[in-house]
Amino acid sequence: MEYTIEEVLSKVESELPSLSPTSAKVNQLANDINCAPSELTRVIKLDPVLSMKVMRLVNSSYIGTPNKVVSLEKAIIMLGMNTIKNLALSAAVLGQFARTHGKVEVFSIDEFWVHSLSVGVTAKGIAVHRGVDKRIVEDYFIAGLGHTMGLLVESFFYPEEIMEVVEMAPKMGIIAAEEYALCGLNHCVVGKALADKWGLPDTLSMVMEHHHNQEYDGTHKELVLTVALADIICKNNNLGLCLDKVSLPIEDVLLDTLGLDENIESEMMKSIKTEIDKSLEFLKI
Amino acid sequence: MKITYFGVRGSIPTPGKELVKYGGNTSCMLVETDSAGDFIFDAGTGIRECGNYLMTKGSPVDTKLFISHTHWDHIQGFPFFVPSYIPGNKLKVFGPPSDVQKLTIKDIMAMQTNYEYFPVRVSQLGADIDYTDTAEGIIIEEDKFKISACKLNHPVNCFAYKIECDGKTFVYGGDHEAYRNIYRGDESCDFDEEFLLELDANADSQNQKIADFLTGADLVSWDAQYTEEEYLAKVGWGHSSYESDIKLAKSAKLKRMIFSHHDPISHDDVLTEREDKYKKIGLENDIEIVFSKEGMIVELN
Repeated sequence: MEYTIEEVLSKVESELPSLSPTSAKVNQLANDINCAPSELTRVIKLDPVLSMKVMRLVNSSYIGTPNKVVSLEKAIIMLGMNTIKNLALSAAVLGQFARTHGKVEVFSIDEFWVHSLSVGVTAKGIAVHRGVDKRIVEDYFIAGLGHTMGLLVESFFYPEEIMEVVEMAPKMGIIAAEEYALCGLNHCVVGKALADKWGLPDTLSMVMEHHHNQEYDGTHKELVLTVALADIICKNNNLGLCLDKVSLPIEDVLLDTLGLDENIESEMMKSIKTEIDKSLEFLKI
Repeated sequence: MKITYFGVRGSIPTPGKELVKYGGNTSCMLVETDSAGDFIFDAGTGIRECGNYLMTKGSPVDTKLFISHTHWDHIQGFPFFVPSYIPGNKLKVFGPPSDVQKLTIKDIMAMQTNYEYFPVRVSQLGADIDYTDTAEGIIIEEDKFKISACKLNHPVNCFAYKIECDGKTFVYGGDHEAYRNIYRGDESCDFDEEFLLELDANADSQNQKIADFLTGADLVSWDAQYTEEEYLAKVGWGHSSYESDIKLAKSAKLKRMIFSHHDPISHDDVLTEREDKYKKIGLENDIEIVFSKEGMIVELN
């Protein structure tokens, strides 16, 4: 069944719940009156949904910020700990993905979470490797963390349809193409529409829309291509969810644009798993 | 422009013989203008007397109410604002929506008159009342006046309002704590010094934005709940110290500032002593400082 972008966006207004791997820790910290700012920040940065909600709030129209805020730390300074805690708790009240919603568990939320986090960590790692300005390195992490929010939204509101896409995957290969064929939309289009509706920074909007385009040549090119590269590296190394059923080659044009060579994949793989393990350890309560 | 304080106390109403001089009603003030009518700022318990006063000026009452934020001490008096009960009166209410719960100001004002809390529902009020959510920037501008809003730092969505009318500019500040880099001094934080400095700059820029909003005002009424010593035990509670207010006044190049939203534990003798002290400090910095008192009238001519 096809659905339109307007239908998806109208459903998003009913709000998205938090992700199960982080929700227990989020609850623990948000209910702790003495919670350290860095601890709360760390757990929010491990939850793509919560991170995007903070970005939505700090960039909303009731605050006349002249430039869009991309840094989560700056957003938390501007919004204050109490607002962030209550935002986190209100997301928790909505339940958890895949445990309370729908009849179909389209994919493992734990796997989705590992993929999102891995792409964030890898994108940041690539940025550091390339000597990107230190002041914007964290932007690469946030962009990687939230790059595939569109898929989460689709699976939440249209689980049967996305399930059909997933089942078709072995025949067709790349999930983004299959979504188009079966649903009339794909998670890239949905992600961009969501980012625009929520007033998220252009960087996030562009990443959500173009993270499968290795030849992307538009605004925020380096960021978009870095996340695209991180996405492929994580999928090819089985780091979390991968619905694409064909191996994804890294194209020369992408590596050339970023001034990298094929060794970047093995270079990144040295540290990603350690970072994921550290995060899992932190989330234990 | 005539400014009357009907409530000056922060946090909770404080009746008691030690709190008579400054007063125990919570935040509410009235601004009467020559050319654009009356404007009420906040609906703490002081708004009851404010409403009674407006009734004596003649009918129908046609006024505007600006809510800085929706903590109890800034809305609790609204159900006792008599003009809102009388058909023919008009009231425009502006206030912040809930940024977290996705509630409008109308929703929030109605919630405090739920069956469990109060016998009359907002929907039963006789006056013609409409509600508008506050956002930063100009929120209402007509021929004779302009009102704009600036977001403040408080543990809920909170705004300061600036009224420009009759050639004068007055700012009513809601509750506010100077922005700070919350990660400094956080022992579990592993940010390097370079990033901490960047976050310092971010907090500074937020404080500068507020100073810019105040610059040019003839008078500013501001949250002044604590001494700096008291503040250090209450960091993150969303209130200012006298010292940080003087710093803000200097940054905004203000000449006059009224310290308000007095702490409930600050009795008359304490506030009298502090008023003397900070008036002198103000004068040393070329700033006239006054502590607000219930019933105090300030004329801007």
